[in-house]
Amino acid sequence: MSLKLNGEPADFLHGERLIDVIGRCGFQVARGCAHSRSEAINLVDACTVQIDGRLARACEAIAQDGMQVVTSLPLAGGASAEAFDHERARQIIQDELGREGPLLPILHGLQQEFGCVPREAEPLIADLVNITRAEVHGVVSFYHDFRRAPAGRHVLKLCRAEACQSMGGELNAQQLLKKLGLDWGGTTPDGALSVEPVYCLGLCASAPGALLDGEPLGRVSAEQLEELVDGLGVEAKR
Amino acid sequence: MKVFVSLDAGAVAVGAERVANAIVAEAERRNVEITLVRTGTRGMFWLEPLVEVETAAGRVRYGPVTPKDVASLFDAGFLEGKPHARCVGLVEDLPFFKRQTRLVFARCGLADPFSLEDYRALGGLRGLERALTLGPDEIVAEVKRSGLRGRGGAGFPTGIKWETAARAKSAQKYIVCNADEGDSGTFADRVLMEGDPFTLIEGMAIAGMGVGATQGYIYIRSEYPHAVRSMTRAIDIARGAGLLGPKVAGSNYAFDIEVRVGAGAYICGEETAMLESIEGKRGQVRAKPPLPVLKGLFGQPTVINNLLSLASVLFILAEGAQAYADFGWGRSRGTMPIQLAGNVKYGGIFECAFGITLGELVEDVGGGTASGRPVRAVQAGGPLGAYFPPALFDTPYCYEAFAARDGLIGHGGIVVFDDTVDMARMARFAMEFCAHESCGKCTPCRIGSIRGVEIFDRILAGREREKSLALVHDLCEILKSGSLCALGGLVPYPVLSALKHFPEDFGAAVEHTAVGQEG
Repeated sequence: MSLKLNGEPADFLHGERLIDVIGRCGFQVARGCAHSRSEAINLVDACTVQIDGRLARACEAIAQDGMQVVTSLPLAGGASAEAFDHERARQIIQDELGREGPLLPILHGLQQEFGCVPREAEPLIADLVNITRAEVHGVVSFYHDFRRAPAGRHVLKLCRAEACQSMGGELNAQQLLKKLGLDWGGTTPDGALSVEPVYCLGLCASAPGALLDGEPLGRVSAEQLEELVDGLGVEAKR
Repeated sequence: MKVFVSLDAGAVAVGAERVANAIVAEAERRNVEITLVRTGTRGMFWLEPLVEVETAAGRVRYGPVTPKDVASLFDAGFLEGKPHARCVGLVEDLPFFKRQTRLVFARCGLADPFSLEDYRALGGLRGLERALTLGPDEIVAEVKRSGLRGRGGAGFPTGIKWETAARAKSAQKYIVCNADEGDSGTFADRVLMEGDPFTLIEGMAIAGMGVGATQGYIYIRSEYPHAVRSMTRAIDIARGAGLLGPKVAGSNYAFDIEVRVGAGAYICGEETAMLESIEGKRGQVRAKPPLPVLKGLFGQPTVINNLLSLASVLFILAEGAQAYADFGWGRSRGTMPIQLAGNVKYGGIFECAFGITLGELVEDVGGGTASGRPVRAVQAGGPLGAYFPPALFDTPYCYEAFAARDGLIGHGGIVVFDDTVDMARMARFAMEFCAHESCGKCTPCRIGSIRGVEIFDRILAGREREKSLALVHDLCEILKSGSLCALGGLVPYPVLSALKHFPEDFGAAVEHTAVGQEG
């Protein structure tokens, strides 16, 4: 069994943790809370790597055949750090402070501006809203909507709920993910498209439903999905 | 010449925007003067994109229309309501429409949702005007007399909730509208917010007046971007017209509304989790008591009502409690906007009085499956609702009858499945969904749901079947009794109903199946 680590093939044992494979191959990833002889307690994000275009902790990921792993995070982590504009973020936060319970509007505002809620924003929010960083982090990580890294240039949300399942939506989705070589939440290697799960868009009488860059789509067939993705110029995994 | 095309997300999803543009372009090309009005949807989604034309006889309808049909529609003379292959006649003549009693959705799809003038012309603001003449005590008494019960699923009497909040002493009270319509198969809130947003504003203003609240919040899920835009725009218009603000409609009542957008957490549809979310916290469920009606948002007395409950109040105030209570069945009074969804031929919103049977809804109104195959199961009440086999289609649609058959009507969604459905997979999905959406507060829900998925994986793989099924029943008991809110508490409904009515999908012997189906 083999995976690609920073572009190089790396062998691993069945069930081996990714963080151990990375260490064995001589790449540096901070271990944080992951002791080699205990189970990861999944507390620290220091070991974050990019797996098939998606950010994940290396300590909790289990090595899988064909996985593409990048340890230096050029695509996602780098992009978010670079794009972060302290002053702009401060402005967005201050604009919402007049509301009762301003945190969710702040996080939505930041994500709209930066494509994600940058980690660098958390201390800033904590300071201005006068809550702890732990509280901010707790809220950001609770809600499915808030991203830790920007999504692809296009975001396709496919409904996985019951009404869409009854019209074959799940089968269509699996077919598309397979074609793109992605898992749910993944982004194509060229950064063109992220495919995310969503549980109901209220298009249940025109199922299966989807949302492409905020535009609703109903009665979407597998063929339509393929055409749609081809139309976006997405380069699928070879 | 007025032509109507819906701007509802469900219509836009199947091409209404392109059809609207094509009609305008074609009219310009032919030098024909038309006024294109973008309306809400009539709720008949199999006909979308639907084009309606005003004629002397009434509105003639064409659907589903594609941009390619537009030129031929003009050729056929659709502006005079003349025949065309896509013509489906007068709106009011369709059986799906004729059988309805539209109280909440009376205006939806008829006019421009952002025209207050149209809103008033179609009977809007009559509820608010009467409320102003009644005063707080009489408003609450009227709602109480109507027998209206919460349309979010729990069915708690709205009037009693309002009365409790009205009696609570506090400088600040809140009205929170629950528009976090996360149940699969439900979309009535979305359609009303996009198609008739002033209805909700009026309903909330009446509630505010009744209980003495001056601030309202509408919590809308982020999966509904169109509804968020629509509501925000309508609130601005209403504020500009003096319907919201320090003097509601020129009275001495103050009331204003703010839209809050969720962030993809299903659990925030649970009322206390919603309060936490508005306050800017993790959407974790609160233990009750204290009841939100006494100690809710920011610790103040708060009425949390479903959108459809608030929208139902208009008719009650305008026409009187008795007129509303005259509709219905048993202890379920009034009408319910039922949503037919999934694998159904005629899907959409069907508002009618309680008491119609499930079978009538699925077979007669819904026309059976979209795929043309036999109906095998329907899930009523969203992802936490029970699966009903056709053998139970005689169940009357009301709170008590569904509860008596271990089900619930929830927010009025009905999802139809044909005979290709694998009920073991659906049961597994219920657990998977619960694991995905659990707020993490109660252990049976947070961990039990994950164990539930694993147990179903074993069942699906044909391993340790008997032992696993016993475990499922045990787990469901613990979930029911050990969860603070409805997510963990109700997830046993879809799981156990699937097991009870469709044992053959869980590897039961064939002869067992035959007996089960006869019963």
